[in-house]
Amino acid sequence: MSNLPLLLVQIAVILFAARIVGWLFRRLGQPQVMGEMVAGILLGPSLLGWLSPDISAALFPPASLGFLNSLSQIGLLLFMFLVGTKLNTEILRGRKHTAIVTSHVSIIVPFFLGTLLALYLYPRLSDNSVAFTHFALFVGTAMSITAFPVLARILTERNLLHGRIGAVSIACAAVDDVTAWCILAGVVLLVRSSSGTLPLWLTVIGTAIYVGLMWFGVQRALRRLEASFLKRNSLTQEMMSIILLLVLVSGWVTERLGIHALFGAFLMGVVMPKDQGFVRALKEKLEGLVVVLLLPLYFAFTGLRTSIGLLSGADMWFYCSLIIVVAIVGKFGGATVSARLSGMPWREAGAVGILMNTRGLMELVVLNIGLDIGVISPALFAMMVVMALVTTFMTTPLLDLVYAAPERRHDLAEVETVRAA
Amino acid sequence: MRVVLLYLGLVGLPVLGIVGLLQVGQTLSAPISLAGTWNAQLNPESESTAADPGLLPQPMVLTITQSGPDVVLVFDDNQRTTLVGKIEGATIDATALGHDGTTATYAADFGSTPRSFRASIDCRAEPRRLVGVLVVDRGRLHAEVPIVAVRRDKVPKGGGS
Repeated sequence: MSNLPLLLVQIAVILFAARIVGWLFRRLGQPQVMGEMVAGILLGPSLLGWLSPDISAALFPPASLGFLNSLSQIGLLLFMFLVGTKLNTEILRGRKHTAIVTSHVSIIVPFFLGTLLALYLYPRLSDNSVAFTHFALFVGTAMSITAFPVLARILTERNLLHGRIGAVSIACAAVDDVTAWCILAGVVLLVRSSSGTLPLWLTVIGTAIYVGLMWFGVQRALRRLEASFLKRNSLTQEMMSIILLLVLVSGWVTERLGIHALFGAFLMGVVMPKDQGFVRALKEKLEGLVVVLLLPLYFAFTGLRTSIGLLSGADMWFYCSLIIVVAIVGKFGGATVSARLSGMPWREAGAVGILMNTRGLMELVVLNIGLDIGVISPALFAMMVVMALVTTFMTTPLLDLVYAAPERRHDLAEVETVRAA
Repeated sequence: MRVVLLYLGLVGLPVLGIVGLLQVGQTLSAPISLAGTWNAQLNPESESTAADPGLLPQPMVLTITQSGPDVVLVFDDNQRTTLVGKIEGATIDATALGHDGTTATYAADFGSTPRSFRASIDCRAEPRRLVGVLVVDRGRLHAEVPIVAVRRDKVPKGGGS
């Protein structure tokens, strides 16, 4: 373990940068996670490696990144599990139709525009080792992501979660997340099956059996765990170890099936019992460590793979701008129009569109998967990271502009009146 | 009923559009894939009369990063020389970053430095072999050294178009 001192220094530097930049972004009215994402980019070749290649090479030598990557992947696995635990079908109650239509339209419109964009980008940013279908499906998926956790945080911070906008947006984002992850699993499956790891039919049947097993078997077993928790009113170490073991096994199974370990962790979170106390206890035990310590490592690892320097020349920046415009038009436009057609006034529909356009961390996860499986090139990866940052950054100022404090208060008052009645 | 119609119109139509676009895309072609790690051998024919590659390591590891036709080549020599260039057809053409004098100075200090690289690949017969010429700076001298690079890791899936 001769790399331990270096690993400790790397973690300390990453944590420090994440906290400082996160604090600065909070001062700008942005969520902490936005600052942490930017901190990761700043530690990579885009800034530190560019300003001081020697320090960068000493701090993050390529041979040492394996440890950092492993730690960050474990962190991400646990984070995806936590995201899954927050998905509750209860939030769809009373707005299932609006949520499903708005969510699916806000996926399919950017997906369509992404596929259209892929026609232009494929000869310019891809190569013949990637089939056009895989490339286009991936670009489409990357365009249609909404960051459920970041959205939840923005809504909570702005006291919007229990208003009409917040309720519709969070419900849409929940449907959006599940749908987008299913599409991504399909894309990963297609790409990996073409490179011959497992036959496609075996992966499809295996995945279907596994999901069924989780839904009807593991979920029931977990309810007994929940009952035990409710009886004792505490989450014991034994319970925690069972849950963590299941998360790891689930990740291992989906990785072996040829989709991705993250899907297994996410699925495990989705089938977890949704009793508020149980989920809260689980969150209290895990979230601090994952969000404060391990996720910044993932952002840093992403940052180390992001080289904004690859975007050299006017044409590269033109492609990048095009990606950003298509992403915004597709997601914001699709969600706004469908929310309007579902009966919301324009202002509220616009607010839903702005919120759904938040891509945040989930986009980074998707992009890293794309880079790992070789569907996107390093330059396209960098462009899409820029797009993820821009679309996440613009959410809060635009929301404050379109849906200012008086509207929020009015929305909340209306909801309170309906509740009281 | 209204919701169903809305859903069919707003979701169903774009789905059909996506299917159409995927069909149209099958006719597109992308540049050949050269990304990956290559083992490069200078002067592969020992009786070659070309200049001695000097302090360049033998064999050299060449890492190619590719985004469409744009490539970045990194040699594992002392200075980790970086060349940037483009792929046109089956030929890769790259020159040293900011080689307007900078490279020559380096060369005087450290020995030989790759300055430009031009090589071709025969995608059908030998898809793992790049054959070409590396122009090396050594002090004030330029030398053209034959080079053969053999792909070490990724084999193109050939999934394109």
